Amino acid sequence: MLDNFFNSIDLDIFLKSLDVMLWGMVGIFIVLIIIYLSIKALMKLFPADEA
Amino acid sequence: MSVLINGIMAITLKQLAMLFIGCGLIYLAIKKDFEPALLLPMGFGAILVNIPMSGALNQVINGTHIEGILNFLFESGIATELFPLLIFIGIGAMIDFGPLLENPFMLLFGAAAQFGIFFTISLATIAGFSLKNAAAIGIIGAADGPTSIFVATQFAKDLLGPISVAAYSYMALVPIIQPFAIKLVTTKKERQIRMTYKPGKVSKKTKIIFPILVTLIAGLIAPVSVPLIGFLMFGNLLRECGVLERLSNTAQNELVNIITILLGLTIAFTMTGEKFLTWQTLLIMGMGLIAFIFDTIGGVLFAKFLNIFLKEKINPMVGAAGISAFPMSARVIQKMAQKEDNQNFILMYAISANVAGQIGSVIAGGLVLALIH
Repeated sequence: MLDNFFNSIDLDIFLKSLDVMLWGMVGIFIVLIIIYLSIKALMKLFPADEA
Repeated sequence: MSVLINGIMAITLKQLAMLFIGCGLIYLAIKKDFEPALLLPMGFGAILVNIPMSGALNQVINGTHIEGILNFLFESGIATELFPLLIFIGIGAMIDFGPLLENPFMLLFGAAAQFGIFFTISLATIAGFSLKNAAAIGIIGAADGPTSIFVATQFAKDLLGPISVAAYSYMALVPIIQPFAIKLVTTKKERQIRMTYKPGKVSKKTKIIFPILVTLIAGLIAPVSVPLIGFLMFGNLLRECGVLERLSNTAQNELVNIITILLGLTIAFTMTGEKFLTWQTLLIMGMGLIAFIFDTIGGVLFAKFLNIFLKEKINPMVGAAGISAFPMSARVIQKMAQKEDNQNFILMYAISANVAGQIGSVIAGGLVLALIH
């Protein structure tokens, strides 16, 4: 029964989903780290007492 | 006489079951206060589309073609992605990014707590779904209704009904799901970690530039995400610019209210018995739950990982607030923290992480679209 289950998995699609997982997580961290650095720069450029 | 009983005679078991499900959703909305703004229209919509020969749907009766209003709304509001995008303007106008700008470090949790999305996509492919359908299911973990609807509209229109029901039901169940998941991966001692809040000030210029900057960064990296992040940030710009208070108020109130009514009713278009009552629906509901649990676990484990390197430790529960269910998740985390130690106030950090989750979930949606298109 377990053999049937494993045979039914489309390996190509599963591997592609792992690819999406890897690049999705990497991508989201990259975007948010860039936003984080941009916020830091904004806070330096426009400190609150200038508002 | 036969005309009067045609409807009663034509009812099928599946339609009858869906009428009960529709009433169930209305019950949950009214009695249990589960996301009533969406579940009530969806529940009533489910009733509208499951009445035999319903005039709300396109029908050919005795050779006469009847144009259904829900078909029209679906084609013009959901298939074109208009409704979820307009809702984003309202959500953007409602969000104060101030706490996040004060603690930008919390942005990282908005990334880590999207892990459940990608984990569930892989799981769904194992369960036999195509990659596009799996992506639409995984996005339930974004804990963000409009993002789920947006991605499902592009990848799995037929699954829009169960995906929406799962997304909104689990968002309502955050106070039950998150404490369970957090306790699975934290000790009492970790949950008692105190965090000293250092309030900062954010200039008006920063608050105005922030939405433009985020749109540019996210848009340049994942252009497909521009409608999602762009409409969200446009709403926020309306709020922060200081010269469009009337438009900001309209976006936060009238716009969101009108679109919420239309969105809920229209999603129900996909909730006919034939389409909804399948094994797939049960699988989708189960995987949506897994996505929520793994989002929470992802955020908590990331906080624990950071604690290895940090001098001032982070309460790992804050990581769980990186999901997008705002502000419910932050409130749940604060409640849990006070349950462990009644002098522990981590609400502001949890809110920062929660707001980061709003951005993170939208970017995750955009990235999934970009990677799978």
